[in-house]
Amino acid sequence: MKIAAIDLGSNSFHMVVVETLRGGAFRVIGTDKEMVRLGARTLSRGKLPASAMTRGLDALRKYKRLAESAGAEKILAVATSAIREATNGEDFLERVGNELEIWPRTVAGDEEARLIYLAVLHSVHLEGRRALVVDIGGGSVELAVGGGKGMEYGVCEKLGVLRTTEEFVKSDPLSAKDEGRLVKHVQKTLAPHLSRLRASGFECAVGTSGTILAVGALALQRAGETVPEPLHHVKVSADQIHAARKWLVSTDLKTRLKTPGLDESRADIIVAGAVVIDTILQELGVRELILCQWALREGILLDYIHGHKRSLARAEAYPDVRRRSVVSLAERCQWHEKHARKVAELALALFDGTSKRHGLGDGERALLEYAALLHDIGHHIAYQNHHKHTYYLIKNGELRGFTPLEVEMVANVARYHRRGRPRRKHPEFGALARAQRRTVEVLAGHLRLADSLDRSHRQIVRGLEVSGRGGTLRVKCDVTADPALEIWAAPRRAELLERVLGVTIKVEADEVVEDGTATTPVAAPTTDETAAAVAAEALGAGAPGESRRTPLGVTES
Amino acid sequence: MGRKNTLPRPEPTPNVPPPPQTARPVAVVDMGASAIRLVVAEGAAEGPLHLLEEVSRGVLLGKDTFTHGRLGAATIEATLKALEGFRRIMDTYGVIRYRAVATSAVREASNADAFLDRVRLRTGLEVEVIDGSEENRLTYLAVRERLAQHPALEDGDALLVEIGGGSADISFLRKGQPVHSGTYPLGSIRMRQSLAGWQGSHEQGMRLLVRHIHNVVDDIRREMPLREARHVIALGGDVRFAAGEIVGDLPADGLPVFERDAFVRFVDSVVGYDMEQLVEKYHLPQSEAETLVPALLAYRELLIETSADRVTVPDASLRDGLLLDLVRSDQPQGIEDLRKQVLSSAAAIGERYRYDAPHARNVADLSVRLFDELRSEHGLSDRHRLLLEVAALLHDIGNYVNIRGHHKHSQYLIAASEIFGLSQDEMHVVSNVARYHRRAVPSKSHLPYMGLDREARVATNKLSAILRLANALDADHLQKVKDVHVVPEDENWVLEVEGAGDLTMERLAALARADYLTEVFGRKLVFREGRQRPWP
Repeated sequence: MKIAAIDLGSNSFHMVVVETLRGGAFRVIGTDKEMVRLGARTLSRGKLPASAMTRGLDALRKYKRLAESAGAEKILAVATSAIREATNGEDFLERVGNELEIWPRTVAGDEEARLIYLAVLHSVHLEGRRALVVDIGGGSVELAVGGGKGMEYGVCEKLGVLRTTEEFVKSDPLSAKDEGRLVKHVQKTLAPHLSRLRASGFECAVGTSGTILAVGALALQRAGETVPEPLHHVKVSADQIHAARKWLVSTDLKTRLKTPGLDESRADIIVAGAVVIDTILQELGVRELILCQWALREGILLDYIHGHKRSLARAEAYPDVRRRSVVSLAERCQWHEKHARKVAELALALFDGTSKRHGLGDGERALLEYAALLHDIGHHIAYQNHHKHTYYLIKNGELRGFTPLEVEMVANVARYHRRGRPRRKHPEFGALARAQRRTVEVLAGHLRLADSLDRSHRQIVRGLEVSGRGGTLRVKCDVTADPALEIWAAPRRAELLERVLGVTIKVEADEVVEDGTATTPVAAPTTDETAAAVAAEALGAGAPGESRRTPLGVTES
Repeated sequence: MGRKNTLPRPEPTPNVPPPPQTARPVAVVDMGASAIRLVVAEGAAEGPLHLLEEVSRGVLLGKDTFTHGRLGAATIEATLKALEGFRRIMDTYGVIRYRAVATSAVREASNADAFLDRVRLRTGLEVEVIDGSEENRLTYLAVRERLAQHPALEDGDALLVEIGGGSADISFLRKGQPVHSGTYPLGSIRMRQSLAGWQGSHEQGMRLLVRHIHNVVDDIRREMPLREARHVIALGGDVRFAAGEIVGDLPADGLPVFERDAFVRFVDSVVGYDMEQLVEKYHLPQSEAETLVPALLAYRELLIETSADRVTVPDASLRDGLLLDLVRSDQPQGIEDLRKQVLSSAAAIGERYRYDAPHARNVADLSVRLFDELRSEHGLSDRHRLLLEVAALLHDIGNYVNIRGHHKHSQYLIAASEIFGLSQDEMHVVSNVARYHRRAVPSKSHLPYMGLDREARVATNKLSAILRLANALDADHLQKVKDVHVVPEDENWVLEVEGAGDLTMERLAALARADYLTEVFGRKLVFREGRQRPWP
């Protein structure tokens, strides 16, 4: 299954599209980055400016198109500090949801740290060592310490590059005064956590996020080393980073823009970034930093995959999105699988056998199958009115691969699997166009009769054959056990189909002794025949012996 | 909860001495599917109840309703005559407090309102139609009293079953506490009616019944873990009849108990007889013989599902529960017990929809805390407090259907569910409170909301304002806020929050949700963090 993950960061939005593999792994099939700069002016003002929101929406719109064309079936998204802290952050997210149907999860600082740590755990070879993970974003900095099982202690502080640049970088090149103020601020902010971080202990340090990667790459370059591509799992020494910081502080914007290998869009914020990362490394006594290209968005992918192992396994079993989605909803509602599958099988057999009469095609046939598979899911809510609950669950249960009209049709067909005529005064049915209403009645008629043929939920009807001419249809059932309940239920449940097709339907089955041997064929009476006539017929035919020949006369009640 | 009605009494003359210290007799009237019954009793709240009179009149309300959907003229007249007689008896004893209830046979009759009006005019009695949930609650009260300290309630899980005329009431008890309960279409009269046109062999008819019962039992099994029940407590006239036949003389404590196999054998033998044979062999009246077999089959099929090896048949009934409720419901212990039962029933529903239990519990705790802090402002009752707690526990179950619009799905699921101890009307209030836990506020265009009466709508507004604030305080779903106080300051309310860790999201969410609170209560909200605890 293909999934896209988007990180709506304060500085930039990142998307990665992956394909899941067996065992909870995935391979990346595409990535993208947009410097949306949501955090610009937001973090100090507390509100997302309209221009930032527009940029954000445009970027997401583009990402959605890209993800869909790459075949992604699910888009995960996570929103961090700029959106989290803005008073209109939720408004923005609601717009994203309404306009693009993407629903980002807002994560708080500690959760962000946990997810980043998770990403590192799965991408960096820690060799059993305890790790410190540092992530410098646009709005916030995360520090996480832990072992091989996950994060144990996390810190999230407002030291992101956009924020610190706005607050402290008042000169270009950075003046000693500004640098001093920034360093003091970082030290003061970190101070309450230092003892805890040191006490937790770590044997290696990993740096993630664009800013750290940029600083790291620059550090290697300045030290005369080749900068590998990709920049993953590359080690940079703290001294090299310190040297890079000193150099950056001495440069002005023009110089930085001209520096090869330094991303132009970061040229203004990288100075603060370098000062922050260098100060952190010094405070914590880190000698060496491992650069890691995985960060928050990979973390949410991993988190999702771990939580959805079953649905991903199902994805492998059902490549067809519609069928997979239907089975997924059915399983969630703890369906009686055997009964549902049998009813679907019989419904399709009836549909195929009556195709000349109803004239519906493959599209409708598929809808009938799905409605049959889902017809009883309403039982999960309550026995009372379960057909209405079935309608509700199908309508709202996020079936994928169907147009809204198709969902509405499936829901209506499933709803009418019991008794009663579909009526225009039922609002959901009445809202359909005339042709669609007829289709629903035809499909529901087939479903209703098929359901009655497994009334006992024992799947005793192995198969059926439709024959007949003119105004009468015969449905001959091949049964494995006594079909009394099924045959008794059939005539009334066949009424809907009789009405929409304009025929009389006779349901027949061989009468069977419980050990499975068939004897005399007996038919359920139609509304025209009387019980006595059927009884007489049954008694007169067949061989004497052990077989019971009880007339199956039933009157309509 | 029940209404306790009073009968009009003449003013006492000045020379009459004050009434005696013992409580006046009370009465309960129970109108069931095949009989109406009166019990008059006296007793103090804590002590045992002393029965003064017990009268029963056979009236086939169920046969009318389950066959024709309405009560027939003859049946109504017979019922009115019987109730007039009951009223005379109640007057003789000087009963003032009473409760009269009717169950499914009246509830489902299309002319129920007209009928109850005639009852009131003819006899002065106000009859209350109760739903399945209330029946379960009252029956449970009676059983708990009768089986106090009995192993069936003390250890392990028990299934409490009553097969009535219209439907079956079943509760699953964990160490005596009801955690699941429901009403199911296994009523004996109803099942009998559905076979009315059957002309096949008796044997096949019985097989049809069993198939139907199996289908319903399948659904019951989804809602409660039948196999885990190690005791079965069965109530009802049909099973009492069976107990009498199997056990014969009653044991010393008056509690018939029989072995599972003995019951299965008995039912197998009875099922073979047709109606005439039953009437003859057991000297049963026609109406009882008709429903005996469907009822016993239902008990048998349920018993087989459990792991119980014996069945206890206490003579506890809805009437006993009504009496206990009438006399004792104001006791604090009774109220606390009921609260626990309601909450465990609600938690069971939450689990069915795989809710985030720690988040739900945290929001519920904060909700009732805010409710208590704001008591002088909202003027709502303890009963409302309980409804708020349930709405808070279940506000997110809609996520099971779809995260989008989950508040609406929560409303739908709650309205379709049954919680032990809460009436249908109360469930509608709960479902509405849960629906409005997000941004949207109640509006005249929302049908379920407008379906509430005015008082319920006002309560919904206040309770949902509190719930959305409490929910905001666990915006992260990490349960960081442990306690909250509300301190009035000038025209504002200061929300003092005690929590651990970074509460930014909670603060922002709380302020965003406070608008409605301001609209309902007229106060502005200010958020203040109390004692800051370091992250553990």
